[in-house]
Amino acid sequence: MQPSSRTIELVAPAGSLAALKIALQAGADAVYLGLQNATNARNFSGLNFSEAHLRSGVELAHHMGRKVLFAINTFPQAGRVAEWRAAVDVAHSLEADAVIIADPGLLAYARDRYPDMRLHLSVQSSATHADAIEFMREQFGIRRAVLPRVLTLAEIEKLIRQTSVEIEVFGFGSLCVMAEGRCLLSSYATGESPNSHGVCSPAHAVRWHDQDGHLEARLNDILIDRYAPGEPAAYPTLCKGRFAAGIDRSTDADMADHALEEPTSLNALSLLPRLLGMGVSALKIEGRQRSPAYVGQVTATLRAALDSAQADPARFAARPEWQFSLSRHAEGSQVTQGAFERPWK
Amino acid sequence: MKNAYTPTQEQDSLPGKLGARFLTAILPALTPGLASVGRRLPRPFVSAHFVVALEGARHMHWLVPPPQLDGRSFTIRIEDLGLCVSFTCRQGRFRPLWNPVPTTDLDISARLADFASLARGTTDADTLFFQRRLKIAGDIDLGLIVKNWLDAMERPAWLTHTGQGFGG
Repeated sequence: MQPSSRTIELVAPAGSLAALKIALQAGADAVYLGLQNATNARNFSGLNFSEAHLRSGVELAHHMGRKVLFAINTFPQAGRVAEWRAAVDVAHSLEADAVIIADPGLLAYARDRYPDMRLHLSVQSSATHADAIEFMREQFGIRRAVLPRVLTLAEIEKLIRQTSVEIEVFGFGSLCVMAEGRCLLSSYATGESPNSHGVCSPAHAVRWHDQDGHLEARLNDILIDRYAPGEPAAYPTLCKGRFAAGIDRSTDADMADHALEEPTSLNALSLLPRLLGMGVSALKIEGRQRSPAYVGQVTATLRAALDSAQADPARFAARPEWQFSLSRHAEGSQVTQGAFERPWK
Repeated sequence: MKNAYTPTQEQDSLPGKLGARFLTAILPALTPGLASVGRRLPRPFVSAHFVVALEGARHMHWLVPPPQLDGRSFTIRIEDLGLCVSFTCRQGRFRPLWNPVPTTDLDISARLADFASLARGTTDADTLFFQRRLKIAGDIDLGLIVKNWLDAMERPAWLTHTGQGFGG
């Protein structure tokens, strides 16, 4: 047995104090979380942390020797920059272990105001190559970059060799087609987008209508999908909707299909030894909007898999029960290794 | 290595044992019979009993509704039992709707086993939704408030471990 000298930090999502507790119980090295406002990209009604719960969560995590990463990963809106700066102030006052920021102006504020604060470059900033990451390190002193889900393993390995900044990648969770940090698609239907309001499909614009098992999803009254009885459903986002995307030549009828992407979940379980070997520093689980049950089960599964990969990377094999545990939480009917595996690139 | 989370010993407590026996052995056997009875029961009658349970949980501080629920109306449909309850929340208290309106602000449907696993906090609501086992209609913003309120709740340990193996 050849244990790896390297380790990967397991970063779990927390949309509530209950989720934070279960993530830590399940073996997360760190949790990431946000405030109850538009300063983070999961700004859903009733989700996220009050300051009192944040304080309890940070105390618990530190008591257990774990970390809390504070997501302030949306883009400050004109005239409302103070809200985003206030979030950085809260993160500092509560002694968060790092803040995850996308906006350069906010990074500058954090660096100038709190020089000792650890800065992580959010996936929303869309930094995909070493020059961009090194620039952000030189300008703002970032210590870690979360990579957009568009790079192959070979590209990530090369990038790690070219920068001293720690690299974090996504390991599990719903995928989306957007060039992260650049998606405005939902604003065409609702006037709101993830970068400005922290939510792809604001709940006030979503309507579900079930008739005899046929489920219609509407976003601001625009029909974006219709599911047959028993067919798996997905989040009601424009990018995952099905539209008249072609014509069936045999019947001359419109063919409804996914115009942009099919709902799919990323699952990098079988790639863990390679991520470990190339020096990836952290593995992130998507899903702050999910229930504590999801957080606990996915975190526990990846904890077990990471421990196994670190103990003996050469003999690591993704166990069927791990795959089952992850796949039953997947959005859509399939899981993928996403851009990690692109033999043609 | 860090430990994966494991159930505590509290599932061996008396409420846990009784709850487990009820959910795993007794209730599934009763479901067909309950369904034939359930479809005949008047909604206000069922709603009144359901609200008694909600109020009991509220008095025990297990279920304290957030202010956003005030004045809103809810329907819960237990599909396999044919049961349908309607209630509202006024000044922090649950009240049955004696004269149910055709549509309430939020309408949630699922089978009993899935409701039970949600109540115990052992299943993710989005996972059930993806699998078409949880249906939601009406004000989706209100639905998210309810979902996230229930997710954030600290459940009594006996409830979490009650009836493991029944409904996920």
